Amino acid sequence: MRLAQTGDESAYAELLAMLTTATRHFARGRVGGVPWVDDVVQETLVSVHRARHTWDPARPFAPWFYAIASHRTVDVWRRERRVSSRDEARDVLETPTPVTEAGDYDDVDMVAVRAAMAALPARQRDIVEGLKLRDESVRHLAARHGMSESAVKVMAHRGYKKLRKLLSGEGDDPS
Amino acid sequence: MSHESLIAELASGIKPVTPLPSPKVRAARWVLVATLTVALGLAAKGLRQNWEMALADPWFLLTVALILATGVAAAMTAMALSVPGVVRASWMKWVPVTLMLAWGAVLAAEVLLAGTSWRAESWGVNCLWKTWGIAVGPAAVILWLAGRAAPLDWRWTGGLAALASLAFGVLGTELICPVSVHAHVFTWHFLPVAVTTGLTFLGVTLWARRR
Repeated sequence: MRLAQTGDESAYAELLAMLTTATRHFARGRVGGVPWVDDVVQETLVSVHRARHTWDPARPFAPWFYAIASHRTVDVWRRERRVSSRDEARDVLETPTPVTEAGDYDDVDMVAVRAAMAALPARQRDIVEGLKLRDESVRHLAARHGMSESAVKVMAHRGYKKLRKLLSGEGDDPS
Repeated sequence: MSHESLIAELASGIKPVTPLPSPKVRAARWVLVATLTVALGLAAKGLRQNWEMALADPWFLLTVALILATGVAAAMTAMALSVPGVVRASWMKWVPVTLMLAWGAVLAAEVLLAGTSWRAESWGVNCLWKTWGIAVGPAAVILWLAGRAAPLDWRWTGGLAALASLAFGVLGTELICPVSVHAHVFTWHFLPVAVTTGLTFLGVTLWARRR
């Protein structure tokens, strides 16, 4: 960090690479193997970058760094909790009355559902199917499509919205 | 964005930075600014006429000492909180608040011992303006100083910055206002500081949640 404060690019890149591993271990130790550990890592790296002038070379580096990592872990945890509680609330509002008897499936127009699914772009369809039919994790889908987990969630949400519009006969959604 | 590309982006073209002075040094500089502002307030409004009597009053001296201690402790803690990892024990954040409450307790004891005397001169909205007027400059400076660092917890940093500024503001008011009625001092000197600090804490909390 001392070298990074003098503007040494390679020393700084090396430090950030080390901090990536350290943050991942730290965050996993605090919150377990949650899918948003990588968000914690990236936010911590950005915070370290923004706060690098506040580290006093006369003081130890670890308390400074772990204070940042700890706060960013809590921040991301709070944000994820807010998002998931919002998603849960939305799901409760959006989910139709559960089908209780096998016969009730007769009311579902499977042809229309298949047609609506087919209308989704290939990647979006795979994400919706992955989450709802194949029970895949957001993390897994994000890795497979080379997207961030947030982007996968957004794409899935837009897919549901589009399906809802198609099935309710409101027509195609240009988004 | 992958970690590797983020690291490459952050490291590319990194500019040298000058490490900030220690929180103690920054707090000391701010205390100097705040003291000068109090002196300016005194120059503009004049020292209380009965200052000799006030200086002979041990309650007044105790009150002023507690206000000063509150202001200095709040400034030091706010500056320390603006640098990651400096304040390791969370109880340290409560020291300035405890000093402020001790100041309030001393005033409340004075009111109780002297008996409540809600006389006409107890009304003192002017003292409110004096306190805020003196505090506003130091508040801007301490928030700027905190912002130049990297506060991880803006609630406490902002709340304590407000407390430090208001403590110096009310220190000026104590030296300007000639009213020694205990109920006046409690209501128009202490309570505005406590309430404004609380509101700042609440306001910053709401602001931080919406960010």
